[in-house]
Amino acid sequence: MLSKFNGKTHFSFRIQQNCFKTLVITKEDATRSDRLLPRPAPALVEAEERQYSSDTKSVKYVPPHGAKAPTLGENRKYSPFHFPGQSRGEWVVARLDDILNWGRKNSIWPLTFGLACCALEMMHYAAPRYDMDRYGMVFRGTPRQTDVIIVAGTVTNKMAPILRKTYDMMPEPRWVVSMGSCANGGGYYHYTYATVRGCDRIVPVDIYVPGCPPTAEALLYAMLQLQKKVKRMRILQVWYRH
Amino acid sequence: MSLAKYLALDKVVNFFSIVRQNGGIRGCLYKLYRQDEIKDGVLVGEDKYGNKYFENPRYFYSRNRWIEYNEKYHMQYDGSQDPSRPKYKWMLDSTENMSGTTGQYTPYSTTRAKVEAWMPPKTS
Repeated sequence: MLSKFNGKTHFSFRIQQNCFKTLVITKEDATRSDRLLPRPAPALVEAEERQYSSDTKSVKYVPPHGAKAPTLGENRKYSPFHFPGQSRGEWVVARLDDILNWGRKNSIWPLTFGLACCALEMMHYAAPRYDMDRYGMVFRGTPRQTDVIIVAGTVTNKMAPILRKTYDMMPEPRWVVSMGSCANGGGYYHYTYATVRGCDRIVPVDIYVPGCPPTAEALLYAMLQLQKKVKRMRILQVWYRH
Repeated sequence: MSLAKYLALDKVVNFFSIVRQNGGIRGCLYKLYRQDEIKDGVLVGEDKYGNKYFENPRYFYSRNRWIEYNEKYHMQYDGSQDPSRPKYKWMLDSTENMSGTTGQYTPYSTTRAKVEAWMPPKTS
């Protein structure tokens, strides 16, 4: 990011702010005043509007699975799987999914994959102040025993096949957290000849953590987001529906 | 130092005041389950979302102020539900992070749909 300061042009080293909130809240996201209001049910999208399906702007927002958004005044339920018109069988597999996800999200074991200075923040996140262990996250040295790989740092071309092989060695289900500007998109080393411009060119990434490096708090928040993602896995429900 | 303090009796007094403030034994067990910690403090205020803010300078700095989220969130509380965070321009008015829930922001697509569903002609 180039900025004019005192008549000179400066290159700002920190391309992204060390803010965990920018992780998922975008500018237009935050300005949407209707976000906390209940969404219209999908039945309200009338057939006439569906007729012109290629005209994308006329199609109203349909929330996934027809569920309504949580509002402020109501009790927040534990499970994300409460749909209107849920059959008894669906209810049962939804509860089984809840149990499965509860076990998975409370024992996410990350792999130590520190490549650069982000690894220092990853160590802080493991250390007592931020203390990942209280969320049941324990660093493992071998990919065979891990659920998530935290790609912390610059992925160089030399490291790329190692990253892929390490990822392939992890048992399913597995997740990837891309930590820092370098892992997200090359970052500071985007224009060098030796760097992979983002680890998502090699492995599928679930959570991107912005920052250079992100704070330990930001990484912790990202891991909590990952927990939320694990919580809404629909293994048994998908099996039941097929 | 008074004799009571020398015998650490003030710790016992603190313990009972913490239990009293958190709603007895049952209330304490619930709070331990929900937020892993029970503390005593002054209720400083409550925000528009029903979160409560507490303060007690007896605790070490950075633990001396804390938030108890609205009861309605149960275990689904999150740092983004706290609107009292320092305000920066990129934050605008603080709203909860709804990503991953049914309330998430979904941008509309600007690309033309690849499949156009056939609509039966209306018979009327």
